[in-house]
Amino acid sequence: MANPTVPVYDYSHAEPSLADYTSMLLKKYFEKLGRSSTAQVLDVGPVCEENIIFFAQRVKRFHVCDLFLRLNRNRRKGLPVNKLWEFLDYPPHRFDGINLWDFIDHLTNDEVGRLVHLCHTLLKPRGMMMITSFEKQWAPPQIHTFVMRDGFQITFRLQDHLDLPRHYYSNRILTAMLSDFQTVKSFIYRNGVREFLCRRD
Amino acid sequence: MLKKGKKIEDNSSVAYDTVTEQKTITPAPRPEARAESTTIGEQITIEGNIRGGEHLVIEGSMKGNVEMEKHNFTVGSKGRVEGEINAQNIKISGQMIGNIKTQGKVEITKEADFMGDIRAKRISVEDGAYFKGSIELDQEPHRKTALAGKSTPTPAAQPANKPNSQTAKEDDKEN
Repeated sequence: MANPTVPVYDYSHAEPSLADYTSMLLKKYFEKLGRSSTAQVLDVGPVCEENIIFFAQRVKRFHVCDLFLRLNRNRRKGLPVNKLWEFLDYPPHRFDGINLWDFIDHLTNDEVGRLVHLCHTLLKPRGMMMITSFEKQWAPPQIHTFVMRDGFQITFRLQDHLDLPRHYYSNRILTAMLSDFQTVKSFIYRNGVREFLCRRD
Repeated sequence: MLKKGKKIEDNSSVAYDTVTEQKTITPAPRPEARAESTTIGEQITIEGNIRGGEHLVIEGSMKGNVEMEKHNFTVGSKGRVEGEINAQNIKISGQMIGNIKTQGKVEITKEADFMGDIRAKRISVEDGAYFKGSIELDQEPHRKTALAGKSTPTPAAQPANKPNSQTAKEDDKEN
């Protein structure tokens, strides 16, 4: 007989929650970046103090170009997404690593293709690209920052100033979109986060 | 001429203050330790380099380099600055294009629109800030090497109340 003092919860209608997790992929990423004391890494946002400090303490120079905010602004002003790529005006072969977090989840298929091509140009040979993306049923309606903590633990912080549509790409489509790269590692977590580490040949 | 501890709102007030003070005011000696501050008001535009011995707040428009290694520099929420900045601590709340160098802290608030490279000992950035640039944190030479090799705690070390978030599946294609 059930104890009447213990509440019975019904999770069947619960919203997916963003549970913290420990990123295996980021550990791998840093192992590879750590081999170069002159590593330069680009992060396309959202701007996050913890991530800036985490990376800036571990690589030679950490570059930030927040495309989330700019995409948000462009959409509000009705500007074409193509204007966004003008901000990635770095010289070719500049970076050892590029962090895309879940930015591709807010782009159309064509836009992802353009971004991936640009990243390919900006990366040094054997440079790494880190991507996260949500499984469809776990994707939060609002944008959250992946906040890096010690031990490569990831927590999430709501960015309620950002309002961008979300797209879903299956593993098969994602892999096809990343065909210019070699997929080094990928992880799927029970909180719905998918991580991909790709290397430019 | 810029006045210590006064906010300069427009050109007429600059002239008035200057003349008045020259004729009628004999400034009292100020204690050395007191941190003086100058604010460039919203209606002021400056072109040229600044070398300062007190804190400076820009609420107007400025084009030029700033050298004030022992004092703080602030771009207020209405300020627009284009130039290289070397100051003790730097706070950006307005628009700024240019590189920053400091022995102290750089603070970028959510109102900021900053484009440039930062070299500092510490940095804080608020969510929502427009930022395009790079960050290089000054550290002891051995620090980066040590941090780069920092190991990750095993999943067993993670909080027990987050069991569902751990890795479910791995796909390793590494050569």
